[in-house]
Amino acid sequence: MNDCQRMSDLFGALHDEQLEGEIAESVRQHLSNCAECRDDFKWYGFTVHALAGLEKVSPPRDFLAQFRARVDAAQPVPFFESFRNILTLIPHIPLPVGVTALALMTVVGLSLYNYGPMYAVQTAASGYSSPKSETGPSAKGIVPLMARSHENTSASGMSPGAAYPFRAMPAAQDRIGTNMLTVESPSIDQAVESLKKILPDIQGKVLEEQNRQIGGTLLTVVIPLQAYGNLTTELVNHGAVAVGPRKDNSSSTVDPGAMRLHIHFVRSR
Amino acid sequence: MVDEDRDAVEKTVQGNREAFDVLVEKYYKKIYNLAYRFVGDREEANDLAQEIFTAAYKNLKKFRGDAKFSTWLFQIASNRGKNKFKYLKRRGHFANRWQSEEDDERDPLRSGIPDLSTNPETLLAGKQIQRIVQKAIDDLDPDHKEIVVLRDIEGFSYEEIARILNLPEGTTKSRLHRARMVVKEKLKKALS
Repeated sequence: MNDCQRMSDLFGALHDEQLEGEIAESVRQHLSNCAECRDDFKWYGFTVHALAGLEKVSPPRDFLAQFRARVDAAQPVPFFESFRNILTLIPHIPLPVGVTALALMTVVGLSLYNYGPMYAVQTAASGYSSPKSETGPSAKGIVPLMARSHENTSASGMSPGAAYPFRAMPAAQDRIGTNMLTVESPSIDQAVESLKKILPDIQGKVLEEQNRQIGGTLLTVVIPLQAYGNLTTELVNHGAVAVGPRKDNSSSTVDPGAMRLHIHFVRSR
Repeated sequence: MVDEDRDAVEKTVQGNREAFDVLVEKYYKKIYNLAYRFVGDREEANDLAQEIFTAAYKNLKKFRGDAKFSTWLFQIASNRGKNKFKYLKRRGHFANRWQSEEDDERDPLRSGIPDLSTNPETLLAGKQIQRIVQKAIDDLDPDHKEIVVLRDIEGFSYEEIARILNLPEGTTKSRLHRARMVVKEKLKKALS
């Protein structure tokens, strides 16, 4: 390392007046004899001055207000507030549309939760009208469906719900919660007959049959409580509609382990 | 070590948001200026300074109090400044900015070596000189840049810088010297 290089390394200390004694003296001596180093040291001093002399830049007047707003925005948002924010996130979507979309998503989510993904896929693939199409002009009441279900149950020893691979079907009482169902069928007689045929297999029996001129046939059956789930689930899955609990006016009583189920058969349109 | 900010820090940690305003009011000019030297642009500097205070506010519970609050705050500022500088550099922020300014630059100082015997304040007050110096800072690598900003622009002592950057004092001095030499060469080239 030559003298000039060594001197240059000491510029900082020299400028900050941190050199003392012999070293300081030798540097000053070198600078007085070396024009190049002298010029370089001038530039070094100019650089330090230039850096220190940079104008102070003023922040915006509302800096503090901006900061407060920023901190407030970063505060945790209460649940209901965040819920409102989600719905108004996209300004082009009016709030009612957002609410509707959210409601729809909730329904789909609950369906997935209750029936499992396979059921949702099946439902989506066949559409909501599929149960009705089974009982459409080409179908013969609910006979084939009930028979198939019955065969499956007998052959495999599984409940109908267990046929779904991802999730056991929930108890029908939980899903349906009613003792009154309406079944649409192109042939009420055949549908009634097919139900009557499977009743003995589940230790059920017909309690009352009312033929109505306009309103189809109302069948009141008594079935064991444990059969309620399978039977009503099967009926609902093939198009029966749960229409709410019906008050039993009948004076006849049923066994403690049985229940009365009202099935209203109507002609499909 | 006496820390005059301790009271405001403690109140803020206890949930008094207004107490932090006292700290912001005390340091925001310095932090903004430091941010500006890192990014060389008022708008970006404002963003960066806001970001620095927000980070400090959010992390105040992590401040152990074994250093002064100002040291801790400038540690955050320095780290954030370096990161922002790297980010903007990757996006070509500095290249684009200086290119457009160089196109219309007609600097009278470029005609020769500045007369260093004249009053340095007069010489340095020129707008073009300010720009050239800022450009020289922008061209520094982040480690050199932070040390030049802290020492030569913000005026921190070597001891304080060593604490902020968590470096030995000797390393701080030698790094600053190298950074100054780089800036010196840039200025020499630009002004000669």
